Amino acid sequence: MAEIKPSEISAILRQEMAGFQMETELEETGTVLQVGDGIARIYGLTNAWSGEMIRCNDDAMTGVVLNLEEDNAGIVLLGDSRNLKEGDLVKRTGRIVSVKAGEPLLGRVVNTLGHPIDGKGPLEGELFEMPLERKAPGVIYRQPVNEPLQTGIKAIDAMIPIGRGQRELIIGDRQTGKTAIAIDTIINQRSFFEKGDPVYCIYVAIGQKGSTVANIVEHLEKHDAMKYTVVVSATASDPAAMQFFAPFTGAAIGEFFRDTGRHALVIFDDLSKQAVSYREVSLLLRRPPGREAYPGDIFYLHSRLLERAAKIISSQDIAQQMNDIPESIKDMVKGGGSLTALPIVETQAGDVSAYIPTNVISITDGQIFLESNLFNAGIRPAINVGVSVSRVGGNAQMKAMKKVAGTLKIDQAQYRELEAFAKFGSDLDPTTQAVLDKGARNVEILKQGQYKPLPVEEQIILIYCGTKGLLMELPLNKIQRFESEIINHMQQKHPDVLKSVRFGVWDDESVQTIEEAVKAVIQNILHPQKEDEAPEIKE
Amino acid sequence: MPHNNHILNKRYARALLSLAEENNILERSYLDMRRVCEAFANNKELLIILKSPMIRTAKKQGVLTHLFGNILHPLVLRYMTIIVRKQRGNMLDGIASAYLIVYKQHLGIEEVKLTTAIPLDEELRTRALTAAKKLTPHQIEFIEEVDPSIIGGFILNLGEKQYNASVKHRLQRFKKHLYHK
Repeated sequence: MAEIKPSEISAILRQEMAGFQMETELEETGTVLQVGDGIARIYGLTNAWSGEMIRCNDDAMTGVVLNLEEDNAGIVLLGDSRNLKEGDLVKRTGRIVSVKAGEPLLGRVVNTLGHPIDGKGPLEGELFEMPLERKAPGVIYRQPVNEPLQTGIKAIDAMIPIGRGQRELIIGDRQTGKTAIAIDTIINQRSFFEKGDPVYCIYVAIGQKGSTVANIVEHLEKHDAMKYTVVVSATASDPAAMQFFAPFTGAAIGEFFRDTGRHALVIFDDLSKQAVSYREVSLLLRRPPGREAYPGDIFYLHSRLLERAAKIISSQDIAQQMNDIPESIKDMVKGGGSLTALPIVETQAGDVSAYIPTNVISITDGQIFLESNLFNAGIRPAINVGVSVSRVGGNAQMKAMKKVAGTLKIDQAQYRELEAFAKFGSDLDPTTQAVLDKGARNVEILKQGQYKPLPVEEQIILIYCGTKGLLMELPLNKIQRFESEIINHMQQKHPDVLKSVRFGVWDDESVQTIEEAVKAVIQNILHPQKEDEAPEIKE
Repeated sequence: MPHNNHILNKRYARALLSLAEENNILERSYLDMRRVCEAFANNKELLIILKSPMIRTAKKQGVLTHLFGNILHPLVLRYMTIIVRKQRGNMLDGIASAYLIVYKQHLGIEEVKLTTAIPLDEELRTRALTAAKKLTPHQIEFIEEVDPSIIGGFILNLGEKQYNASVKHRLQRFKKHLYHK
């Protein structure tokens, strides 16, 4: 290693010091009157704004002004409140609470304040300050949802399609696979990232166990999905204020991508826990409690958060005039971006008429309803197709998928109606039997393993087999085998058809090829031929 | 730290203020209340006695009369005994310190606090005073404090504004500057 001269060191030090401003400016201060439970009451701070960041203990901790009262300000502390004492001096920053967002966050796990907590060192690269609380884009800066967001899950992409810029609620009891749907959706974006049309993903974990978050990160890493993903983590041990601000951090990071003309997907896992932490903070701030002791503005809390999910108008000129653009990204604004939100809400014993679930259902553009009895019956993802809807995603669905899956939802509804009936085991007429057979096969087709999102062209082919009734002669227990074999067959013998389906071509020619392939595969499963099996054994 | 129900404290303090104004003993009452504040700050037992529900009200009133009977203006003393009689004796310390604030607000006096590492000499004091007077159109109350931990320089507090020109603060800022380059 080359020797370092002391003179060089002092020269470098001097250079570093050159940018340091010695002037002191007039600071506005306040005195802590009372502190406890993550809340502090401050005397002074007469000019502080609501939502302003406050520095406590010589910058060791940040607080956020939430209550402005006649002679004191109520602030929530984003850190350990034991470090703050009565009589301590706190200072205004003149900044609304914000995070630094940008590409360097990708692949990282950060806390509510945007500081990395994954031990991979500081964030390197350019970051832009984005406010946590920001008004959603106005009506003129928006555009109807028109591009699909592929989740890679057959049941969702076929029947409850989600568009880029949509807000789709994932709701269900504990242990029904809500997070699994979200994680699979993130993993499915990998192919888009690799193709150069990325959907950046932000996973916000609120009030979860640290081990659960670590587990999710590990799975994302294993599936090579962290390259385009940011994990915002506010675990159960973090202060309540950190937990209820976490989704806003996620939204702020997502907005950075949205407003710079790119696509982003943000998952809030889950908003019922966030509501609980907001209730905690509100009650400690002595705001009046309402239903279930939630504060009066709990609906506004969720609606303003989810309203920030949007598809931005593609016209560059209009997009640039968007309301409330943060100063830091003012000259980077581009139209055509989107922010899709997948909030998750946990219900208790399937009760969707509780306070928070009804609120969030009414805010979002549809919901995916998961049921534990379906889950336990082995139907996974355990989506209850009857009550799950997507109010706007249909416009964004791929033409081919729309054509193929159009009747699927009705077929399944009919099937479920007759299924209960058929359980009595009486003789059924052939039409009823046909509906039942087809429905059972469709249920089988819609089953899908975790971490196995499918590309859209493969989904289309499988759904086509189901809705067209091509699998009637196949016994139910062979459907899974058929699925993998038909996909293998198509990949090996007709890659061109797969490719054209992916780009939305659904003409008679490809349909014919697919039908022939299906016939061949079914034949092979029902009557295996020696020659076909021989090479497999050799291997 | 005084009792922290500051809304209540101020309300009681304002009552005394208007009474003192009526009787033309504003300044006397201020000095009295300052004495009471000092008494509370220096004797923890006094507050413990006032706070204790085990001690009879008459006893508490007796303690107050004994302690302050000769020092305070009779009106102020009577005010304090009334408060004790109304079971608010535990708030007396808070009321006394709130009174100081209310009084200054009433007369438009602003508090200027100068913290230095070493005690001020006469020349510096006059210079600081003249400088402080220029900062505000109001009357000022000048408070000096010596805090060696600030190393050097000074901290000037004017109401809720702070001008921190201490060496300690500069070093902290410099450290931050080097860390977050």
